[in-house]
Amino acid sequence: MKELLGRSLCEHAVSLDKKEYSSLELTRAFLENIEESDREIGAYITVCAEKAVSDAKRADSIRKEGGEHSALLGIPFAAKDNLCTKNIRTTAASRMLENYIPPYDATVISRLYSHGAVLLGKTNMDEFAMGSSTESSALRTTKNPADTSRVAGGSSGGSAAAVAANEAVFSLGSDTGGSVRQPAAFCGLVGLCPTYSRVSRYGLIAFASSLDRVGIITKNVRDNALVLGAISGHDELDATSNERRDSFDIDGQSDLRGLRVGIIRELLSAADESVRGCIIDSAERLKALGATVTEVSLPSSDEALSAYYVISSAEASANLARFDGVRYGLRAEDRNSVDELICRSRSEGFGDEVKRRIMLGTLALSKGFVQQYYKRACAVVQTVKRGFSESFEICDILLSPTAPTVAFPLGEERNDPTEIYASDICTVPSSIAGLPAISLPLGEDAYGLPIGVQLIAPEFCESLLYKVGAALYDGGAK
Amino acid sequence: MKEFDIDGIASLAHLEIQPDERERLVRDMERMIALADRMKSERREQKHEITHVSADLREDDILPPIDRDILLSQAPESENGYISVTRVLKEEIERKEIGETV
Repeated sequence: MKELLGRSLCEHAVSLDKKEYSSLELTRAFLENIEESDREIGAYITVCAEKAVSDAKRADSIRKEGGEHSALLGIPFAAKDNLCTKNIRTTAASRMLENYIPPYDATVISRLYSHGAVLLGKTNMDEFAMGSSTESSALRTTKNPADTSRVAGGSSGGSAAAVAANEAVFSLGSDTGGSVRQPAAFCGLVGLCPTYSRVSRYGLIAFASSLDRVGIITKNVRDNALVLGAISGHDELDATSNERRDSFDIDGQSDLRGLRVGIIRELLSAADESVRGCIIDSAERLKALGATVTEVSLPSSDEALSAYYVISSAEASANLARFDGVRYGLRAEDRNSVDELICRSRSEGFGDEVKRRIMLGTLALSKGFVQQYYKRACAVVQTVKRGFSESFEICDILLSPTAPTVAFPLGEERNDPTEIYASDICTVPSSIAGLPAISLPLGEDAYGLPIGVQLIAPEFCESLLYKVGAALYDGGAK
Repeated sequence: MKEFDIDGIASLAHLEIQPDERERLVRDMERMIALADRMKSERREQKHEITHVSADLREDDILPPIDRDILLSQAPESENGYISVTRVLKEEIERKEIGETV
């Protein structure tokens, strides 16, 4: 069975229907591989083996009864550990929630369960999704399966590593400023960040509520579309979720005649030589498929990075105020007053990066600073949105690197915490504009490290991302 | 760069700064603020709108709550169906007992 673990979701679905193997056999094979490989890779914080086996058995019974069923029936998946899972520990990779057991499922989890998908476990991440390498996790280290001396990216590094290491067929992550796309790029996978409001955020532990999105990491484009079809759609429990109900069928057509592609000049020039080369190659492939490719400018992209860190930190400072040691989570032992209880619990429970961002966010919203920082950042968001709208008047889809470099080494010393923020330059503009974007593994550098190419589409145009993605990336044809 | 009161911000954020982390935290904050300062100054104020959000209210249907025991099982300390915390009014009660005006 182990040799089958690298197959796509679609391939597994066909084999399960043909009874070549059962969901129970497949699930047990993944669990065995996790047991063998994950001590090294570190993708998972919690593995729920018993539940996975029980759910796999149920999937097999449903399949045996016959009748229509979802392509996701019996398919093993992983979920980032900021997605609440009922009765399964959910930590956000923080000491603050190290032993927290949610009493409810996130909507995306319950929707996957209703499709019969099998949860293998909860994956490692940067603490409270704040980071770009998964190194700020308080609980364990995740290595890149492509090169274990390097990071898997972040903050959904565990989710990406799990799929890349054949420890799950697909995984869910969350993307606030690039946290699904960048780890997908670093690990050689397809990563989708949907339009803001496309997928319910109910049960996603909030980082920045106007930016957070649940994203999907898969081996190919077709798998990604299947999962989005299962988890997207309006949710009464999320007031920001959109009413639209779209389907994401991929027709397998690779004719892109008439498609107008724009390469974002500023993001291309931010990348290193090997990444730039891959973008240029991708542009040539698009032309060969019939598309026209031009260059567009997004001059506000540098400001977008600043605005992102101000707004996300400001919203995080509000969202993380609930972690006070009172109702759940870590409570400090040594305290003489309620104020000390709260301050000490938070100071002991949160790691350095989380504390830095809470402090920045608190400053950005405080008297004397709110005009200069938060309100100015809001104005930058509108400028960036206008920039994208202008580009979409002359282009149908935009092309850029997903990240300026390939995966960087694990454990790099950084005296300046903002150095790593610069690696978000390519993903943050579409994040603050609320647009959908996908990362495709279209190249490698001279050392075999994966390079991700990003496509950005107008809002709610995930189907266009999938159409172009499938045409560009051969893996999408499976 | 405008001066900021690190202790004031920490107080608002309900965080404690240890003496051995103060210098590093101030330096880190300065670098983060320098990143934020890269936003151009000649910007007109505009609203930050999240699109596609309706303000429809739901009906006042009474739905079953999550079981209290389940919620209390997550509380660090609990007693007789209540979450226990450090005494809030301790100082007030002590002052009243020795006859001070509250």
